[in-house]
Amino acid sequence: MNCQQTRALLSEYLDQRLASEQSTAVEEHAASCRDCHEELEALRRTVSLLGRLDEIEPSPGFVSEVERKIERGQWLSRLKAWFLEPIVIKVPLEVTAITILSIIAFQIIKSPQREPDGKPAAGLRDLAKREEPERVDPAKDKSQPQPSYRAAKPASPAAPKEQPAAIAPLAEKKESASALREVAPEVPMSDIVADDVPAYHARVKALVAELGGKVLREEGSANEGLLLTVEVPQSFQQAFWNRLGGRAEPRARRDVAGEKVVGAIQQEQKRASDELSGRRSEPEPKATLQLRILPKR
Amino acid sequence: MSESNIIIREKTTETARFEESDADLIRRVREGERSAFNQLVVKYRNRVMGLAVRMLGDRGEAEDVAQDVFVKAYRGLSGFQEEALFSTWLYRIAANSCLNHRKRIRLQPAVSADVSALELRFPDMASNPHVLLEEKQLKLLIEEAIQALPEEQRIVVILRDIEGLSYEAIADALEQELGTVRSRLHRGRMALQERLKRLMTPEPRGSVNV
Repeated sequence: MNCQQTRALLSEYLDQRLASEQSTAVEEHAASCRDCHEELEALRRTVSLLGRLDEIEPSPGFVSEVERKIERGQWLSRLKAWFLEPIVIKVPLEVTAITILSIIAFQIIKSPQREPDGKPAAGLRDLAKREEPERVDPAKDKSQPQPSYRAAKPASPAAPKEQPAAIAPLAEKKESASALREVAPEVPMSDIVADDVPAYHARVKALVAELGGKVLREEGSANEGLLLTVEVPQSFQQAFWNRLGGRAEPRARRDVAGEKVVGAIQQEQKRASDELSGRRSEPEPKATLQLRILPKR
Repeated sequence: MSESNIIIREKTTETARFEESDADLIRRVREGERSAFNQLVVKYRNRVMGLAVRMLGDRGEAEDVAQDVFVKAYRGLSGFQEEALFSTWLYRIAANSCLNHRKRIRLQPAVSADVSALELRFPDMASNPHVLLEEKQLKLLIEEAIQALPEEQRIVVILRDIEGLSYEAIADALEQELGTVRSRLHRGRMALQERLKRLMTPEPRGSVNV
């Protein structure tokens, strides 16, 4: 073993990590080589000196400072948990809940009007162009009879004779819950479900003509439903709704509305008579009404 | 049971608690006894502090890092494997903390400041002032030489020759191959010896390139 080989093994020789034959070889070389012997002894002194180096003590408050840092870390963890866990867990829950509630609310507000049979009348919604429909509580309307047409659900023409003509009693019926409907802010409107849409259409036109009004617009079809915009003299407005849901003969009526109709017709006949005789009178203001005639499905 | 037997038993318990193993202390900490961890801190604080001071060369920073080593150990105790040696695990945390700290602040060794810091902590040495002065000077010189070692050799030399870890424990703590530990230790020792030899020559200190 030469000097270079020996010096490469000196460190492990001191740590007694060499195999016995290598260890013997190092010892034999060091015994015969003065330089390597001195190198070995110098290394031994250095390692020995390193082993004698003094311990370095931390300051007296070391342990308590470690304790304080641990406490502070735990406090911070708790604080983090307090603040972050609600953010991580609760906020998504809240956001989800709010989102779901918003969707439900939106669906309720925007849902298409349903008839008692539960079928939506979506196509007519577009026809009526009601963007912000208003919801009317029938019970509330009962206490506020004017304008009574807002809550009115004119009786189906399929059984007009069994249905009372007055509007207020209708509002008390169970089915009036489904009479929550969209109404335009300005134009009174009502829905009718008819077995025979064209026949009911003809009946409405006849009624409008009888009351001295006119049909302004007809939209939709008999299959999907019709939206009629009609104009009647303001004094006949109530009579129009009443007669749609009740008897066609105003003279047979004995209720208040019937009397009004009779009076209004007489007034209209007088005006026509006056016009014929050349006397001018102020034209009565007209009321525009809308009526949806939906096919019974 | 006689009174003397009771006294003997109490003494035995006291002795056993005094010599409580790391495993027992760790078990107590895991059972929620915080004071048991303080015993571990007291037991290992000088070793962690020694490693930190010699690796970082700044006493204040070293103390801060050493404290953090114990805080990390406390927090990581749940993940500590029972079969491992606590001391080796703690040295691993300490070594990583020191090396990361050095990387973070790009600390350059400031030899004169280091040695004076170390000198202040040396305890008084007994009666023969000449011999003690020589020993003290030697220690200062070798501390100075340690500071000049490359980082990867320095930490191996500290762990082996100052802290007394086995080659295997060092390889475990530093997550290095055994051969790497062996060669770095050998090169570190030889470099120390060379530097020490130059420092001990009667040349003026100004010519020494530390």
